[in-house]
Amino acid sequence: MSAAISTPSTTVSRADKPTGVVRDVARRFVTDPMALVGVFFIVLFVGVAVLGRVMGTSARLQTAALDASPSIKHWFGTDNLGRDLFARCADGAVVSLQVAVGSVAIGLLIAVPIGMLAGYFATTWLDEALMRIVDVILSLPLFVLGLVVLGFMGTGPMHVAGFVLPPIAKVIGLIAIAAVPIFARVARASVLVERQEDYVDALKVIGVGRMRILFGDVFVNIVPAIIVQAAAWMAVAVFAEAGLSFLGLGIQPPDPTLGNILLESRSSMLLGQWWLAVFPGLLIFAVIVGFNLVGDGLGRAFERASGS
Amino acid sequence: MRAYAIRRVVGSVAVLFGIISLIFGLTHLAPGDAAATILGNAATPESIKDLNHQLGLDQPMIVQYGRFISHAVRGDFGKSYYSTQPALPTVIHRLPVTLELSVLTMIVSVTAALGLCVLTARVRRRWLTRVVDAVTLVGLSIPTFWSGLLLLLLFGLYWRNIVPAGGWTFFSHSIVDNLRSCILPVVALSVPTIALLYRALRSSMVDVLDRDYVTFARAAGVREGKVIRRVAVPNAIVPTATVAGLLLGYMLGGSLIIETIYSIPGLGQLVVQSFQHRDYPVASASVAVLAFSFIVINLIVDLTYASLSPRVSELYARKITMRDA
Repeated sequence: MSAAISTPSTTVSRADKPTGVVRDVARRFVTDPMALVGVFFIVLFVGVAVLGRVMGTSARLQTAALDASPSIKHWFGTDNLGRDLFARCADGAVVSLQVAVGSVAIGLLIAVPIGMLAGYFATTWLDEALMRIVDVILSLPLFVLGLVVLGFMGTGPMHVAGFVLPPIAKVIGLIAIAAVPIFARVARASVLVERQEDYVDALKVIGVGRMRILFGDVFVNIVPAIIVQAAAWMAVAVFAEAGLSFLGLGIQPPDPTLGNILLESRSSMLLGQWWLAVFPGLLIFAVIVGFNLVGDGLGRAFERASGS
Repeated sequence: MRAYAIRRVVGSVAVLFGIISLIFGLTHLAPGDAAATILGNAATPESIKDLNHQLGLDQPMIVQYGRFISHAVRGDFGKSYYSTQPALPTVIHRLPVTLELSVLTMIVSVTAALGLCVLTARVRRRWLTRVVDAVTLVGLSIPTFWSGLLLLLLFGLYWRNIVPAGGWTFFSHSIVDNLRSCILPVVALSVPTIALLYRALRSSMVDVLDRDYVTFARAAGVREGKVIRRVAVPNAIVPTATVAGLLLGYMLGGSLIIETIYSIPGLGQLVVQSFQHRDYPVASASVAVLAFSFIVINLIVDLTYASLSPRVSELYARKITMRDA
């Protein structure tokens, strides 16, 4: 963003704004207590994932005592096969992060160009066609879409043109597709506002091409709106992955995800193994709160920075 | 208004058609041979071939597609592979349970969200607003599958015999027991919907409280409580119709999860089970019913909203959609 701001065309676009917009937003963000709480939760979650990697593989084997309650040796206790719950949760956290980052990145790559084109050419056939396709995806709730796609296609590895994609690829792809309508709408709505600004006309007058205006200057100015939405969608992605796993539609056991650990806990929980239900859920909850708080905090920081 | 209504209806039919086509496409991409699945261990190459012929699975794809669509339009999705009952009636039979849970959840959520909104509307209660805002953010972040499990753990293991933890008593059997078996599922389902509704109501409330007519009512000496309840709240409710679609999505997704956790014989449980058993006719029929209800309810909400607020159809006349405004 800062690199783009130094290009000559952008100084035309935002002459009325201070040049240190990024620093300004960052300062507002780090002085926002709610946002910092959010950052703390996300760091905690990433920490668990990293710690699990450091611990090595031995903890994942069925070597410990069966159904042990939480202790110094097994922080989260063990399950009915003697596997360390902390190690399994840490592996699940890695899956959650992969799905969150992967699906948001892919969703943005597909949706932002679509939304921007639709916004710039609003009310033309191109806008109509693009937004109708987006509407079809939006017309199904995420879990129903997941059920249809993963339920019928199965949850095994996917064979595409000679490559074998791991099961996680399907989950990432599905959540990315579900994100497309949301991101596309935000990009479209922001471009609709932005294209009425004086700088767009000014750039047109000095002979800058339409696509360069759209994907150069206009793009830089809609980045804040997109970042806020992307942070919020990380939370949705974590939630969706865990929920799909919980319904048996995600990555299959014995490979752990936070959702399928919870699903398995359902049978042994009522025998007294409360830790199996509490800890994985607590981790999911913490990271969802984290991403939501960070999303809200970013929204506030950008809003105040732009003075509106 | 009429142009808008026609456009929305035609669009909804097209989307529904798209979903039925998607179901067809995916059932045929699905791994495994349906005939082999049905016959199980008793399958011989001949019997598989016979059954495939009987089910019409040996015909060209385009013929199968045409037949699937024409049957689906008439509500015929085939027979369940297991119970051999027609698929659609099997699905419809499960609807009342899910509907009851959804209606109760709606009543609880709307009441609670309105109550919270009235509480936080007073200017001097800034600290209370902060607390409620934080709590609803937490509520929105608790996954239904976790809150459902925790309630099951608490009331199924530690505080037993207070409310039924899991299972279902039908309405026709005993009304009291039926309502008792609704308690935990409805609580788990309501947490995110209360939070969502409150947040929508709150943001429109903040907007409404700034309006001239509220200032005027206060200036005219109407008590603050009455201003909030009689003037602000009715005006704040209308714009929240825009989150109805989102709310419905939450409830549908929630019903899949909650009915699975509490072993409730509703549509949600049926969908999940039919996919687990690869019972494709029932799976197709239930997904079609879910999509159909979702689309129709959204359509009704949008049309009601448009007729209440002429701005929407005006915006449509200028070919800009509501969401851009």
